[in-house]
Amino acid sequence: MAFSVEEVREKTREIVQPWKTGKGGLIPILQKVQETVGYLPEESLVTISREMKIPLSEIYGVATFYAQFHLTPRGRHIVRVCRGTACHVRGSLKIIDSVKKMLHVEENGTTEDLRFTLEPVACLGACGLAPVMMVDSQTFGRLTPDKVKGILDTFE
Amino acid sequence: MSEITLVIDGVECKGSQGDTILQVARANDVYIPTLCFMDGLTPIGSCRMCVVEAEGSNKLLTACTSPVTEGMKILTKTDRLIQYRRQILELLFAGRNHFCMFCSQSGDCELQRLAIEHGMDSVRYPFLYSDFHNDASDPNIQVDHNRCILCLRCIRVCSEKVGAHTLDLEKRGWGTTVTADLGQQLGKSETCVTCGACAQVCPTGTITLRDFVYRGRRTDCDSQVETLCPLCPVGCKIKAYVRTGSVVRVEGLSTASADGGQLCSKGRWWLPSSTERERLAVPMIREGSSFREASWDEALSLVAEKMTPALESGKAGALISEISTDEELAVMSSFFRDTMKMDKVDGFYGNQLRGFVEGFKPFARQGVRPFTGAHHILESDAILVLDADPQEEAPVVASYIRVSTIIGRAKLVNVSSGKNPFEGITDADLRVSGKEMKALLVALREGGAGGAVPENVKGALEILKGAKKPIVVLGSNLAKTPELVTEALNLAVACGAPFDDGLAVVPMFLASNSLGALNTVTGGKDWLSEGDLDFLYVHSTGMVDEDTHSLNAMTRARFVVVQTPFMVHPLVQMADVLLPVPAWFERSGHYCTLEGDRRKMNVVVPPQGNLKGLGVIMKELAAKLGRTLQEASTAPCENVYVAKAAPDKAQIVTTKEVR
Amino acid sequence: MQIYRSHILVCGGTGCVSGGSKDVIDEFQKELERRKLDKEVLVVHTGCHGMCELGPIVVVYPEGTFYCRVQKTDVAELVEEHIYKGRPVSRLMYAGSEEMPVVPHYKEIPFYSKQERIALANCGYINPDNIDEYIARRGYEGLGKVLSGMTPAQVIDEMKASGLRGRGGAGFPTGLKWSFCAASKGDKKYVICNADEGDPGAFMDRSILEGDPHCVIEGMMIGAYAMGADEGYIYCRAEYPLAIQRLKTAIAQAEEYGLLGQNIMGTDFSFTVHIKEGAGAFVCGEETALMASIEGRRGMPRPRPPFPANSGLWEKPSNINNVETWANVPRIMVNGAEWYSSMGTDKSKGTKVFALTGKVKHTGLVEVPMGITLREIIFDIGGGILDDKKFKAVQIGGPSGGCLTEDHLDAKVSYESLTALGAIMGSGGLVVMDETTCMVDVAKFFLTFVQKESCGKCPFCRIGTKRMLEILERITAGEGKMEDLDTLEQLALMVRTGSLCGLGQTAPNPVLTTLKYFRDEYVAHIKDKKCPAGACTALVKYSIDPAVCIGCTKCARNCPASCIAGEVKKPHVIDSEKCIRCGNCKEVCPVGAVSVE
Repeated sequence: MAFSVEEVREKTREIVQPWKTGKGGLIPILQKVQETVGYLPEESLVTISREMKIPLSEIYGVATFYAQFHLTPRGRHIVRVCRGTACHVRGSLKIIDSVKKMLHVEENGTTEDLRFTLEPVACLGACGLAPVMMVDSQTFGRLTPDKVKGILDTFE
Repeated sequence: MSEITLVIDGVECKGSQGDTILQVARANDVYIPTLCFMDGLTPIGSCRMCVVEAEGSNKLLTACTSPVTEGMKILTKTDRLIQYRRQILELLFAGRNHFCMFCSQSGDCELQRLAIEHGMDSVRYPFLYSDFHNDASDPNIQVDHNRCILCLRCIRVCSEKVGAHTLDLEKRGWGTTVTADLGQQLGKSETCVTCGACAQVCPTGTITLRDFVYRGRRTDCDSQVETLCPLCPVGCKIKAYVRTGSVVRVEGLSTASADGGQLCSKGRWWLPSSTERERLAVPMIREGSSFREASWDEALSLVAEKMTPALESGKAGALISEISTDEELAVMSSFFRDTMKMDKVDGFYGNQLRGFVEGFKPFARQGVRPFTGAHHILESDAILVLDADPQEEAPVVASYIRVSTIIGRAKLVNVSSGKNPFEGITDADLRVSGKEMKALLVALREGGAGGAVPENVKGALEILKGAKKPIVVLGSNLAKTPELVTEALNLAVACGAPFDDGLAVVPMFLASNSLGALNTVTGGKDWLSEGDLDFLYVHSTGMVDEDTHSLNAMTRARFVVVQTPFMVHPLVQMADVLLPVPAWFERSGHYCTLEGDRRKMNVVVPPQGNLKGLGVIMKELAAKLGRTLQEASTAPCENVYVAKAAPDKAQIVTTKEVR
Repeated sequence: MQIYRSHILVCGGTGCVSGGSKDVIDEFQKELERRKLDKEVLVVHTGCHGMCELGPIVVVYPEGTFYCRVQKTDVAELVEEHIYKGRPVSRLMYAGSEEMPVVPHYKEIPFYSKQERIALANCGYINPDNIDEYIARRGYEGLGKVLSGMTPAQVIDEMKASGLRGRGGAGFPTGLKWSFCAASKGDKKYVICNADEGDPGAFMDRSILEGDPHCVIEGMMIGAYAMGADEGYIYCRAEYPLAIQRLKTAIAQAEEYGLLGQNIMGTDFSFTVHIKEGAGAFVCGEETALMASIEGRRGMPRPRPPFPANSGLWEKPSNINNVETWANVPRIMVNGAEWYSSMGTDKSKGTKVFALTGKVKHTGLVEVPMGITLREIIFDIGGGILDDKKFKAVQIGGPSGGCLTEDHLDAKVSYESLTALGAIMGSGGLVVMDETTCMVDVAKFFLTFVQKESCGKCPFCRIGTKRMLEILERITAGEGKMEDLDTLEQLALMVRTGSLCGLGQTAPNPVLTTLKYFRDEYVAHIKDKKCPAGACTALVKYSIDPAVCIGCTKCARNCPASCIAGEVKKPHVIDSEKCIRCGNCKEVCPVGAVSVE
């Protein structure tokens, strides 16, 4: 998903278009850009600022406020390990440790080959399956540290 | 507004519906400590210092955001509240690096003052020695984030008043910091206009201005004088801080006023630095390639001697700075025009001013005031910028335009021959040559009735059509072609929504008291370009560089007298006689501002030594010439463009009338 | 309409999907087609059944037979035996108690028998992607009743009479809240559904949206009619992709049926609804922050007043309720306020959905009448503590709530009773903790969470919670002092009253309740430098009982620090100096020789 600077601008302009007349568009725009480009590149933010008449610093403030947004490229697969209460009492710390060891990354880090990004999340809302992790949009429950490798191996 | 009666600390107070507890308390001289609150900025209730108790509720209310209600009983100084406030101060002090003895703002700091006030002699938490960024990237503004308490005043003033919105918050929670643009250092910001408003509102030593620090705390200054900034026609109201004869700091007067207590980069830096500039203290007479000091008597005698023959041959001229006060302009006018009967008198920006006047004429004849106070831009919902660059011409006007566009969601149409000064916030941007401008203005006025309208003009047309309160900003460049000025005014009339004080037009005059110059020193025509002079009398305030047009005229004059407070180059090199005059901070008088009111300038630092006021000098020179200085026959600026007809009575004028 | 002799309901909630329920559905479809039964038997994917622990769940009607942990490989047998031959497969049924080893029917499972499902009435019964199934179960009847015969004031009176209180946490009476917004003057008003369910340990909103999206939309429409709004927003966590997808489908179907849009049911009432995806900020559950987020700004709360009812979204009068609250509305309108208020306690009417999780046997979603005891929820419905360990505490209400003890198990659950005990109803997370859970660690866990999620606006929350967390970190690291407890308590009380928004105001609750009910655990950490639950790694010591150790070497092989020595078939020894206290040895030991103190 590597785009040239011009392509990023062009895609951003397309994304912005339907929101130009309405209000409250900034967050959906950022979400769509991140979905398309994989992260929020600077040229995208500048384009949004110009097209939407929203000051740069305000966009940056929003992009850094919400946990969902990322200003640097991320892995092809996002590993979200739940750190909610139910998972905590059922040992999610060990799950996250084993992911860290396996991928050699810290929390919110991305592997060098851009394959995985590890992200602890507050709660995935699948407490019944604790401890839980999500890889992209797939949920894996009732984890033990030794199950982690098998799961991650299925993602290229 | 219905009246509300409440009791604060046992005292019955009156307020109006919609007032906050803090407003009523302050109006009744009840002190409530505040930190994030600032008059004129949106209250956010974040610092929690202004918490008060309402009888019958366990909840704490922030006085700055809570409206008063009938019969409320408010307590502002209970033990419980004082404990809370002290706790906040301790958390703030231990949270980041507030070590007063190393801070330039110690003594001026609001956090420190509150700590003292609350008897905070110790902090129960270990200091965290925060390691946030110390941003020294800007040559003028220093930001040490380790001293930031996140009151957000800087962010609010930057967005709500300056409209630059350079600053905002980054991240959240404990790691939240103030940042510029896309997380840039301030010095690398593309949107910062370096006005220094952020530093002015900062309650701690986080944002400081290098030129001001360690030159004297506000509290240590010998005097604080309210005056105006004479650098541009907006004439911002300012407070000048004086210490040992120097202006060490200037601040906009109040964030609560229409201009938001702003100062632009011109005023903020130039005014205080000017007190350190090299002064012309005594009269000087040229000797070869240098000057020698002379007595007033000798210097004035020489001036009179050279002036007399030139007057007779009609080859004497006078150039008077329009940055002068009404009173000074009246003196100069009475000397040259009434006493010496000279006709070659003009201001430095005579051509520009005559252009505007010419363009205004048909409307002045209708008795309509052809322009409005600049702050009305804040009330408009569509702004048409015609060949203007307000950030250069009058930066606070640019602030008005940005605030109106970004916060007020006004539509912005830029029409220019060159670069768009508001790139990124413009809704329609039309690039036209000077020749095409008139056709465009007519097309916009006629709403496309005159024929096919180009695609890009359609957008602008729709914006103007849809606007309820459009306003037109005329660039100084436009004055070169008076008929464009008239067409622009025609367009404003056609839009049909004038303001109470005049047509919805803001002209970018170049000099601060252009309106005062109109009836006094501004000449009827451009004599400066016509032929050589034997004698030229130049009165400069030394505040802005003279343009090449004036300098060229000086090189062609055989004898040049320059009256100036500063040793300004290259102006000074052109002089045969130099006469000292008081600088801005030593003068008083009035300016007729773009804001539509007449503002008073006060003496900030009393003149010292051998300086003479302008009236005295001109009186003595008249005597040397064997005349008596006449009373000024011309009216001061308050009589210029006084509305005789309501602005909504204005009629569109025909092209014939324009000519 | 096609008539089927049998329905196979397969749970399509997030829990069961991750257990493979999609494959199970496909397999059923294939198997039925193969046997040419697909015209007689319908496979339906439904919303969450609540018993996520035992997923994927399959229920076969008309019998109501309940199958647990059904895998793709079980499908052929189920079709062959149950559908074809009419012989239910007891191997896949719920395993109950001794007197009832196999429980074939839904209703007989203790997990369900004590429940009263109103908000969850359709979850698990209907296909959430099919509006007809919702309508078949009296869906949009409440709206019809309201639009055809009730004035807005009557609707609000009905809501007031029902006694429904906000299910998002604070428990403000819904009817009263509506009346404020209804009284507010304005040409434009908004109704908002708060689906930013951020409390760790709570997932009832997600299940409702996934299992019965129409009831939320219908509830919002009834509210909009009562308050004079014509536009709504559903602010949903982006972490709930399935909920968002089902909402989108539901909105499209309702629009197609003319139930959303202009002149609904031929009346003057018009309503449109938008979905806004959250972007990952817990504080956006706070209503002013949520509105800031919808407007596209940083989700930072602002002081109230002005209240949203007067100046909310885009400064227009607005009303925010959470998912569960809205879900109750249509049922109240259909069955009447009297019916609803007949359930519950004096001041807390109706039912409440709880997410029962943690160290409990049957985790999942339960809806119970107000006034039920915690013991009934945890032991009767939840089946007691996992591995039959000892109950220690139950954390109720998420990061804003508190921890209650054994002594409180018989307290009747209501807004008042929980608040009186120092906890709150919150959104309804119930996390059960056993003897191996350290309460200081739990307090630290919640504070870490709050600290991460603090918006940073006011000093109490931004700095205060940080300082509290530091103290807890010191204590769990064995570096605490007794005076820390006083500082902690004082600061906690100030943060509670002084903070700007609900996040900061409730953040100290987990600390305050554990300090109140489990002070001895704090003292043990400080004075004895011991963690009684053996959870704080800095304070525990692992050792191998030589009398029990069989010398299998499994511990040594699994030790990441290589600090276990010993020969094969001889007792092993842990070098405490080198031990990193990961606990691997204890976990892998086949004979339980590793102990921790």
